[in-house]
Formats: sequence, C-alpha cells, structure tokens
Amino acid sequence: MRILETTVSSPTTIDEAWTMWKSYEEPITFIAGGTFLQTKWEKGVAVPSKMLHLGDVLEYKQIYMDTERQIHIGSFVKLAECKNHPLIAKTLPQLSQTIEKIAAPAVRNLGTIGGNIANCVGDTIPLLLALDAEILYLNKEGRQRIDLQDWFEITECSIILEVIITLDDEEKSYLFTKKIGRREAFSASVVTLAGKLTVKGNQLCKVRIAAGGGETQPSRLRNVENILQHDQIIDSNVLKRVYQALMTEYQPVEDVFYSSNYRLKVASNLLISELEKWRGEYGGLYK
Amino acid sequence: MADYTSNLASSRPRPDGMGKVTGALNYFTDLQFPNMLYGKVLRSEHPHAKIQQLNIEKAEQLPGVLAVITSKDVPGLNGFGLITQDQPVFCDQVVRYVGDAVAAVAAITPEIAERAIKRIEVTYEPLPIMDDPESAMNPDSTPLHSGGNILHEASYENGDVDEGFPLCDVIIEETYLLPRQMHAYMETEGGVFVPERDGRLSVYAGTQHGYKDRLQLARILNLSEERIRVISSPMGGSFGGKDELNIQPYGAILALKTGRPVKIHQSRRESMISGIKKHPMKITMKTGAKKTGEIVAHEVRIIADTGAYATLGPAVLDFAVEHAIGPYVIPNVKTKGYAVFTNNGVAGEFRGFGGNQITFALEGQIDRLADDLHMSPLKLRKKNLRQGTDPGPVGQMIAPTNGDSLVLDEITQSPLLALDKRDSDNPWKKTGVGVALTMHGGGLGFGRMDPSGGKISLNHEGKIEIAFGFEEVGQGLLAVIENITTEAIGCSSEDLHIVIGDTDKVPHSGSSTASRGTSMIWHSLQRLKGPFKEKLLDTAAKRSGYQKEQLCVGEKGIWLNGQRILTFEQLFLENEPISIDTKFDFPTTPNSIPGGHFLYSFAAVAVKVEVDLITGAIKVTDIDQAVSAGPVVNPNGYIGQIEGGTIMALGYTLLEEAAMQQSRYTTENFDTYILPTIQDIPPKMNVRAIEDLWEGDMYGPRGVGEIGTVALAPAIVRAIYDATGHWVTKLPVSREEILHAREMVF
Ligand SMILES: Cc1cc2nc3c(=O)[nH]c(=O)nc-3n(C[C@H](O)[C@H](O)[C@H](O)COP(=O)(O)OP(=O)(O)OC[C@H]3O[C@@H](n4cnc5c(N)ncnc54)[C@H](O)[C@@H]3O)c2cc1C
Repeated sequence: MRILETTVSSPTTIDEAWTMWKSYEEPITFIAGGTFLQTKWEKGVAVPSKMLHLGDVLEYKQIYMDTERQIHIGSFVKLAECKNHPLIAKTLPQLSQTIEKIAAPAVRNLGTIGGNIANCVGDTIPLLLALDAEILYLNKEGRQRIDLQDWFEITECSIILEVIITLDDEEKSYLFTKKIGRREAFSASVVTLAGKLTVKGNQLCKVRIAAGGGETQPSRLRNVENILQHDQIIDSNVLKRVYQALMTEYQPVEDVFYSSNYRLKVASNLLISELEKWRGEYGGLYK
Repeated sequence: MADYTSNLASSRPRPDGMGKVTGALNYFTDLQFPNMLYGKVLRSEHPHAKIQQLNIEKAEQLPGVLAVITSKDVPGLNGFGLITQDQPVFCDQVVRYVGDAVAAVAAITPEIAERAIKRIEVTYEPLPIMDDPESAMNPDSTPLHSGGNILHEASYENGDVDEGFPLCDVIIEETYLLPRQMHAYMETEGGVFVPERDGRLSVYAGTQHGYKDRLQLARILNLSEERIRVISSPMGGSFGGKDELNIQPYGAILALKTGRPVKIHQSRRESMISGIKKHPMKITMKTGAKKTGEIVAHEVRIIADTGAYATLGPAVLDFAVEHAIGPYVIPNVKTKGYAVFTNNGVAGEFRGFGGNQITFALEGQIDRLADDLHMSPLKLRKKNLRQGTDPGPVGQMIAPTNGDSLVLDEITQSPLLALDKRDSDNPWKKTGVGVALTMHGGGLGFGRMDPSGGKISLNHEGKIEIAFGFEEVGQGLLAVIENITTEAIGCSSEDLHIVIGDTDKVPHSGSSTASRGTSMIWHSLQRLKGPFKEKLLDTAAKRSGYQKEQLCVGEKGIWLNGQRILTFEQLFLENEPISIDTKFDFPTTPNSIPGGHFLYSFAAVAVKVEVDLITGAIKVTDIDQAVSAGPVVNPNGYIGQIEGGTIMALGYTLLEEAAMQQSRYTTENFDTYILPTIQDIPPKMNVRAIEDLWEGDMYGPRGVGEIGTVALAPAIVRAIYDATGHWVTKLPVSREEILHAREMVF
C-alpha cells in the first residue's frame, strides 16, 4: 500500500493544460516523464504537493519537417522515440548519438526531450545550442518562439512545446558532440561539448561551440567561436588562444569527484582533438 | 600461440540459472506474509557523538505504528560481531559511525515506518571525529573502544632486513593507497521475521552462514538456538558483505515484540551507509634486490582502516600480513600491520580478504624493481619464485604446490605480452600491457575453528538427499553440489535432492566464505561416498538376492550388468534409514601461525590497456588469466567466478570508491558510487584453467571465489606505466592524475 500525497492534474490537450495552469495561484511544478524530478526526490528534495502532468497531452508528441527544412521535435516526445526516429537518424544522427548516451533504455523510454531541455542541465542542450535550435513555448500570454540560448535567460515560467532545428543546405559543415561521463555508459556527464563548423566557399562562415556537463548550465562559448571564425586557419598559435579563451569562458561546476580544473582540461582536450579531426577532414577546403 | 582462448568447455546451465536470469526467482525480500509489518531502522546522524536524549513518544503515537524499539528492548546481549561482539544492536550512549542504529520501528506500511522514524527525537553531542587511522593510532587520541584504537597488530619477521638492505643494489620504497570498496550486491540487506505458533522464530534472511546467524541472534534475543530457525538461501549476492549480521537483530526483536511477521529491506542508501566495506589500507613497502635480480630484503608496514567495529578486521589484517611476500622467496622480511578503529563506517569481510590490497603493493614493488634492474618483469618474478616444496609465505608448512610457476609459464604464452604497442595512429591514445601474479590462501587458517561437514541420505521419495550448511550467494553452489555428488555417487542429477540454507534441515558446514565451499563439498563427498554406496548396495543385495559385489550404484537406481534391478524408491524403507554424515576440519598448517594457510590457489593476469589522453580514462581492452586451483568442478561456474571476480577487481582499480569526507559518505547511491557496466569491461577475456596438482596431492579442487579478484589491479597499473611512464600508487586510478602526469612526464 503506497500513499501518494501529491495532487496531480493530467490535462489531455495543451489548451486544457494552459487553462489549468492559469487558474493556479501559486507556482506549480510541471512534470513530463518525471525522470529528472525523481533524481531530485531521491536526493531528498521535497516532493511538491501539486503537479501539472504534461505527459498525457496529445499534441507535441511528434517529430516532423516543415517546408522550410525545419525539424520540429515535440516537447513530449520520449528520448527513445526521438533517438530512433527515421527523420532524426537521417538528418541529425548526432542527436541520436547524444540521446544514446543519456541514462539507460528504461529511463529513455520515460524521459522527454522537453524535460531534458527544461531541467537546464540536460545532455542534449550543448548540441541543440550548436545547432542554433529554437524553442516554441507557452507562457501565460500565449505561444512564443525564441532562440534556445535566450530561452534560458527568461525568468518567467513557461511550458516548452517544441524544439525547432533549421537544417542548412550547406553540406560542408562539421558537427560534433561529446559527452564524458564517469564510466562508458549510464553516467551523469562530467563534461559535454558540442560544436558546428560551417564552411562556405573558402570561408569558415559560422562557428558554434557549446559546453556543459554535470551541474554546469550549458552555454555557447562565444569568445572561442570568435577566435576560430576570425582567424580562419587553425594552427597551433590559434589553438593556444582558443585554449586561453576556453579557460576563462567555460566555468564548470565542480563536485567531490571532479574538480573544475579537470573539467576544463577535458573540455579543452576535446575541443582541440575535434578541431584536429575537422582540419583533417575539411581543412583542405579553404586556404 | 595465436590460439589463446579459454580452455574450459561450456557446461550445462546451472540448476538455478533460469530463475535468476529471468528474474522469476523470489528472494526472501520478495516474500509477503499475512499481517506483515514493515520495519525500519533509525541510524545515527553523526559519525561520532554522545546520545544525550532519545525520545520515541511521538513515533509511538503515530497511527499505524506497532512498535518502536531501542536498546532497552534488546532481550539479551546488546551486541554482535562474528568474533567479538563489540557492535551494539542499538547504541544507547555513543554512536561511532553514521550507520550506527539508535532505534527501529514496525508499522503497517513502509511509508508510515519512514514517517515514524522521522518523529524519533535524538539529541546528540557531537564528539571529535577520528577519520584518519594514523592519527587514531596516536596514544593521545580519544579511544573509540575501551581497549584503545588499535584493534589488532600482526607481524612476521624472518632473517634481518637491517642486514639485508645494505647488500642490495636497488631499493624501491613506495606507499600504496587502497580504497574502500562496496560489495554492491544486487539484493540489499533484508528479510522477513516470522513468529511461529509454537513460539519459535523463523528468520528468512540471506547470510553466508545460517548457523552463525542463529547463534548470534540467540545471544541477542536470549533464546536457545533451537528456538530460532534461519532460512538463508538463495540470496542476491554477498561477496563477504552478509557474513556478519546486518538487519536481522532489528527484524527479530520487532517480530517478537509485535507477534507479527516483520519485513525489513534496506534501500541502497541505507545499505551504503550501514553496510560493511573492504578495508582501505595504506601500505608502505621497501624492497631491495641485487643486480642479478635476487630479492634480498622486504619491509612492509600496513595500516588498515577498520572503521568503528571489529567484525573480521583482525583476520583480514592477518591475511594481508601473511601474503606480504606472496609466492616469492625473500630471505629477510619484516612485516608489521595494524588494524585501527576510526569513525569511517565499518570495514570487514570482502572477497579477496586483504589479499587485493597487499598484492597490489607487492606486485607494484616487483614491477618497479624490474624496471630499475632493466629486467623483464616476468623474468624477475620467475627468478624469485618459491619451489614446490618450499614453505608458505610465513614460513609455515603448506601442501606442496608449483601452481605459481605453472600460471607464470602459462601467462607467458599470452599474445598480449608480445604486442607491439606502437601500432596506434591516434595521437590521443596510448596503449600498454602489464602482467601480475598472486597466490591466495583458502579456508580460515590456523587457530580459527574451521569445521565442515555434510550429510547424505536416501529419502522417502527415492531421492538422494545431499545436505550442506553452505549458502547460495550467487556463486553457483547448487551446480557444484550437483556435479561433485553425481560424480562421486554415480547417480544422475535427477536423482538428487539438494538441501541447503535452512538450520532446521542442514548439517554444520561452516561459513560460505574464504573460497572454502567447493573444496569442503568435495572433501565431504570423498568421505561420504564410500560408506553411503556401501549401505545402498548392502540393502540392495539383501532386497534382491544378488551378490553385493556384482551390483553398482547408477542412474535412477542399482544396476547389475547393464540392467537396473532396483530403483532408489524401492530401496527406501522407513525403519531402515540410509543416512551418512561427516564432520571434519578444513586442512590447516601444523605451524602455529594465526591464520596461516595450508592450501593455496594461484593466478597470473595479463592485460592490455588504452589510456585516453583527452580524459585520462583507462580502458582495459583485453584480459588473459591463468588460474591454478586444482580440478575444475563446474566449467561455467569456474569461468563465472574468474571473470566476475576480475570485473569486480576492474571496478576496484578504475572506478569504485565509497568515498568519505569527515567520516560521512560522499557516495550514497549508485549514481555516485560507480560500478563498471557491460560497456566498461573488455569484450574479450580468456581464462586458462590449470588443473594439475602436485604429485600425490589429496586435497582436490580449491575454491575459485576469490582468486580472480587479486592480480588484476597491479597488472593494470603496470600497463598504465607501460603506456605512459607514470606509476600509479593510489586506487582507483585517478583520471585527473593521469592528465596531470601527462603534462609532467610524457
Ligand atoms: C537513472 C537516471 C539517469 C539519468 N541520466 C541522465 C543523463 O545521462 N543525461 C541527462 O541529460 N539526463 C539524465 N537523467 C535525467 C532525465 O532522465 C532526463 O534529463 C530527461 O530528459 C528528463 O525528462 P523528463 O520528461 O523525465 O523530465 P521531468 O523529470 O518530468 O522534468 C524535468 C524538469 O523539467 C520541467 N519540465 C518538464 N517538461 C517540461 C516542459 N514541457 N516545459 C517546461 N518545463 C518542463 C519539470 O518541471 C522539471 O523541472 C537521468 C535520470 C535518471 C533517473
């Protein structure tokens, strides 16, 4: 006999969810798959007395591409579904790879992509930042669309509805994503790094690098991006400056297991090794 | 040589395999009884504190709570411990570690029990924390127990190291630090305690030794042993962790007090905090050799952090002291060890029993010496190896054996060791190989009561009932009993009825520990088979009229010249029971050396590792292991024990540490206590079993429960050195240290 002491409301449409949400006076906890929240409760964080469960909402549970080559991933899509979706496997295999490294199959069958983003330290975030993803969300005024990085800046509460990724037709881009955990699989992240380098003509026209890991909220490393974009040719001198920039820009949160210094070293090693790989594969494209 | 694979043929699935693999099997913690209550234990908030006040009233008032118990409710001895009963069932004055029990409750649901626990009010006065064994040893330190903080000292001396060292051309002095490993059994401690109508108490709780639990519970409950029945097999893993009592006293007292069945099942967090662990050790070794490679002197100092209570701390230390020179002949040796009380949890029995720690240090010394001497590590080992009839490591008489030299020769054939490591074209990866050797004593050792035995009988269903007091902890005991018995008696496995894990039904066999189970079952059957078959044939001859000499025991009955003439069922007669039992002691050395062993097994391991220079992570890509432990009883079980033990050691070397700060665990669950998963283990492991024993050896198969865990760590560390030029001295290997070393050294 288990006694649940939490009131859970389970709307079945997004409008119903919106109406319910607006009717509450105090802030309410959203719950989708509940897998992230569960880890908090296990650590002793109190279970809230009221929750709005979004997992039964019919909409925003699909993945599709619109006419503008934008991929829409519904917020309530389970991580496993997202990973195995043919469209994702074909157009964004790196996202599938990233999800494969999250938790274990049972957790991925419950956890959602929206929950992964909304918890602010999810492992998909660096890659989504590198992809310039956007967020479609709902606040008390209605639906809004915003860059993912900017969504993190919003302090008001909102429900994520979709994450939207625009596929560019530029084929000469190099997209990478790396998660370093405490073991090979089923581990929280110590460092997560993702990046995208896009070449147009003879120019490295766009650089995105984002890093997170553990309790560190992922963010783009704009100084690192600027150096790479400005200098174009990546020689050892540039790598040194990239390293310097990363040291100041990436501020990993440490714990008793890994120091921030270690995390920095790993992030910079990862970045340098990826840049070396990229140079090997694409470096000859522009001189 | 190219074909270096496991030489063990796959055997039939073990009798309990399917249930365990599919999860169909019910463990005791899955049991439900009518009217069952749920128990929960309140454990100390502080690693060291005085209890000023304890108030249980508010908990008692909670509806649904049927009992709240404290030290006042212990009917008999308020203490437990396998050797010394120094651990209170409930603390009433002082708590000495974060898992110390203060009170317990029984309620109608686990949630109510949980809430009741929170309503118990304890006022503590925190005392200074003793978290470092070396400071705790200081005579000025506050004693945690009346006898002071040194629980046990052990030493061994031979020759004179002070005379030996000046003769050496090379001397290596190094300190090795070994972590606190958790057993991490799948099933956490738990069970159900049932008061029976006849006034007896049934205890359904996994343990490694049902009779020992019965004895310990009888003392605590102030009951005669006969009034307690311990049903104790199968359980979801133990690895040494459940030999000592854990939740049994609480469940038992609550059940007797409420008159209702009480279930206790610890959460992983509770298990982590209260459960015993492997001893963290700090081992300093000074080892000297001549230019020729002859090792001349070896000085060892061991400090074992035994935590708050004794349990098997002294025996673990004795084992480490005994194995400090391993299979080598060293004329001048001085070993000194201390097991020291601290507030750091409780350390006790753990697969390997002190052998892992000491072998890591010893093999580390040998490797460093080899390096300084510019000698191959294999050659240096070979040069200093004991001979077949040499005494054991503490000068004691042992069963003659050249297992060490056999495994060393076998591992020399491993293709891993011939590897060209400069084949990697990835600048961020470096590979290396390493090898290590070990010997490991079986049984409890000299001076420790180590009786065993078994019983065989023909039951009314015509089954051959074979009973042992051993426990199925996951090791594959049933397959071992089945294989040894069918071979000894000549019957088939369908003829058998195996009885284990129930003090109302089984004979005394001693604990399922110290790699003794398989060995003792084999010894029992050597004693049982003759008289039992004799009795069967006597009866058959009488019943059939055929001559006894012409009959033999076979599948499903008694056979004459290829024809079955009687089934076992036909042989059974109520008033003429056929039953034989045996009692004997584990063979031990005649020399009076506390814990000194007589029977040893041996292993040599070769590994290949890949060092990731981006993260400092170590990946073990291949493991070859040669084992000498006598005849193989059950090939699958043998592989399972060696591979499983090896992976446990891989975790110990690279990932696992029950870390503490200020005597509190910083790893409280499996999200932070990192065990290897399938992705962390090498895709390929080869086990080479060497079955040969010394000519005339009559001691049969040795157990293989522990030997696979011992030699891996030093082999990995040697391989890391091979790859990077950096010597690791502290486990688990720190990735941070590897990255740092990369900047400094390579
Ligand atoms: C054993 C285990 C291992 C794990 N390992 C990993 C890992 O390796 N990497 C990783 O990234 N995560 C890991 N997680 C965390 C979690 O599984 C994932 O982050 C998952 O994607 C969370 O999704 P969810 O739907 O379960 O989120 P929930 O737990 O339901 O919610 C997470 C947070 O987001 C909010 N939220 C949920 N949906 C929305 C929405 N649509 N709009 C606004 N807010 C919302 C909730 O209020 C909550 O604060 C692990 C969890 C467990 C239990």
